[in-house]
Amino acid sequence: MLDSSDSAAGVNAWIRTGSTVADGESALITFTSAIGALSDCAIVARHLVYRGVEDPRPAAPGLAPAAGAGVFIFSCADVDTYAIVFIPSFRSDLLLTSGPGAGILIDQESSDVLAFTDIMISDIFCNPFGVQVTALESAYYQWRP
Amino acid sequence: MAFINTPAATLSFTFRDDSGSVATMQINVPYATLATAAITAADAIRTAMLALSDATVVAQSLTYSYFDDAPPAANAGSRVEEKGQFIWRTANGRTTGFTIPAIKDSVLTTSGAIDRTDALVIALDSVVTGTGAIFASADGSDITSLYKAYQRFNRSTRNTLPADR
Repeated sequence: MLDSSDSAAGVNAWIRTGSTVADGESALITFTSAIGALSDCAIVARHLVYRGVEDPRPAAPGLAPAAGAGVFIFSCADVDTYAIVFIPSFRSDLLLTSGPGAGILIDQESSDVLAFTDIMISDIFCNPFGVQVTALESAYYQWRP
Repeated sequence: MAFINTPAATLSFTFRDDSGSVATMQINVPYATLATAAITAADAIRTAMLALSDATVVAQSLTYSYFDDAPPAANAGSRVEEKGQFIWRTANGRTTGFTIPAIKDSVLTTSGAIDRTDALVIALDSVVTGTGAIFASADGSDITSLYKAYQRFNRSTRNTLPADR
């Protein structure tokens, strides 16, 4: 919601656990209409969010810092379209140990890496524009503070 | 004006490393994906990602977003710091609430309470508590009735001060 000075604020409301997207969207539409009528702001966006948390919170299994990420660049079904996925705290033992990319490039033949990329390609994943992921193009380590 | 969905819904994962630092990353699924299918896919990819990471995933979310492609202008003089605070009773005997930014002056009484007899307030009450409503508190308990409603002012932050000050 934006006011006349372009300052932004939002309204957070919760819906019943297990509600379908259709029910959530329906509630979202009527709720947007109701609060829009009560506010002098313009409503510019709305979001329907399903959130889950681990309880109890598990401990991290290793010492790699969150900023050390594995970056995976996938090509998508349309020409020149891509999806980028990064995985925090990337395991250092999954990086190549020899050749010009040693310590930087991710070992794409590793069984754990293959398991991840296979799911990315064969499941329902897409890029932010809705274009399906089709192939891994590049994978490397990057520090993302 | 019309709200348009984004082409893809977003799965967001929050990783927590050994030092307690957190990082959040996203993967997309087509907008038309049912929530149950998206969460099933999220569970599969989370497991695969955890095998590649020294961190643990402590939270995940699935977000469907909609944007107005031609939003109307806000009413002149509106300020997000002026809130309408609505507090609701829930089925488990507790309360929950939300605030509406830039609450219209026309729904306030002279005391600063929100006029519960106003048609717009009655309409909101119906949306939140009426037949078929699915609104709940953060702990999952259904909202049952409006408990309190009043005007409230939030402190301005740097982001909410006028740009031309």
